[in-house]
Amino acid sequence: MFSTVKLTPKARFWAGALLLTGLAGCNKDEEVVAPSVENEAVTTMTLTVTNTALATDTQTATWEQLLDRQGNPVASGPDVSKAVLNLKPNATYNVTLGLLDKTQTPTFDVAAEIKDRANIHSFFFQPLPTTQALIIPAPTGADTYPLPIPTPLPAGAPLNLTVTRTDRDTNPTPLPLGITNTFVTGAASTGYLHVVLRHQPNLKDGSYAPGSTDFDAGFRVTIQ
Amino acid sequence: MKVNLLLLSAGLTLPLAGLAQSSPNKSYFGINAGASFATGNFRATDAGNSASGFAKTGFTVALDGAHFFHGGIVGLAGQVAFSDNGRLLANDLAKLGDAYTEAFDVDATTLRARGRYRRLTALVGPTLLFGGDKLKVEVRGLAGINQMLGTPELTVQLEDDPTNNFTQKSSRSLTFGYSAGLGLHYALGERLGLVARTDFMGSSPVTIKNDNRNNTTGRFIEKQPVTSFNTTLGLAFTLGS
Repeated sequence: MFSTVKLTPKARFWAGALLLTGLAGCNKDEEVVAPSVENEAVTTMTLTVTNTALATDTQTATWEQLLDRQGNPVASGPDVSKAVLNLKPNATYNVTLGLLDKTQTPTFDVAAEIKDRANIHSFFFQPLPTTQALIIPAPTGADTYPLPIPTPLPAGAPLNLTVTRTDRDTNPTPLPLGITNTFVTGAASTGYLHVVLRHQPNLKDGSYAPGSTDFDAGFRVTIQ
Repeated sequence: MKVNLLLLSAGLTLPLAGLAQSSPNKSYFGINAGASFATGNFRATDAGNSASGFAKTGFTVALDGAHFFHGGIVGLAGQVAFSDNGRLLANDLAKLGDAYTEAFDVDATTLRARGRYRRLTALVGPTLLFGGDKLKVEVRGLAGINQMLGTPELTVQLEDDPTNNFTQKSSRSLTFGYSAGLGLHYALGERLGLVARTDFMGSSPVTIKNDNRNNTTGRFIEKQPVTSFNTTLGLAFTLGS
């Protein structure tokens, strides 16, 4: 009933070689680089602060660095004329952070996008001067603080401001984002607020170090 | 898919509906080979859907058999099958890469893939074989184990930090498997027959492990559904007198 096909040693060799070649070809590895098709810029950061005890005590501070057509900072440098906060002592403020891309028409709301990508972004706030350990490392080498913060930072009494980030991302262990915050002021003092947006793709762990800086801004703060 | 199965069932069954069993069914064993068409999310190529498997049409090879009690139409069937549903190709990686680049908001991602969807299934279950001496139809439903021999391993490198890679590991998990299908037996001789089969095969979702995945962003898969529609042609050898 059954017939068998006998292969010569040469035929077996070539059949084996063909099979191995086929299997090797089937296991081919692939590698692809997928570049970004669009990249929004960030030109403007605003802090909108509202006194929790006095709703009419609302103010907005703006730090802005416009860009030229090539995406480079304009030669005149950042506009820090409106990067000023005047806060009352021993008060609590609800603070909303805004980010804009003014290179686009109409202006693009980057903060909304950051909120969507909260799991890989984090804002850090550093009141300066401070007697506490720095949350954001001080500039070293050729780096400088963003204007209007002087580099090096002159010694002085600490700015009595405590910042608490109140929003959280959706990582398995939710981590702060920094779009909404609470500022609590102490006794009268003056100084600066350094704000940095960190981009921490697959790295965000609540600390400052991992990732890279997307935006770096400074504000002059007076508590009186 | 359900409509296709119904039409196929009807197409195979109706011509034989009038045929009575004219001789006792003999137990048989057989070997089949053919195409394995990945279906559903297993086949899907939407990078935004974490369940998309990007599986392809591949091949399947099966050893099967059945024992019929007292020569009746009811029997117990078993099947051991190897199936291959391909690998991730360059255009799949391009889609996935665009999705990761967008999700992680990075300038670029580099994706590397290796390995294929390969699985071994061992299933048993009831079968019905009816028809004439020359042509018979078999309907069976089987259940058992699905042993993944591998799934594509995908490594994603985010360009912001070349040391920041994460990996969707190849899976070798063991899951519950099942199949349902029809077979058409054509007797070539007293003990040898030709068998054409069509089976829907599936398994409970396969567990996928991920290395160095720190943030919940972008495509993140931990359970991969595996379903396919297999069509095969083979030989069956009957046993007994």
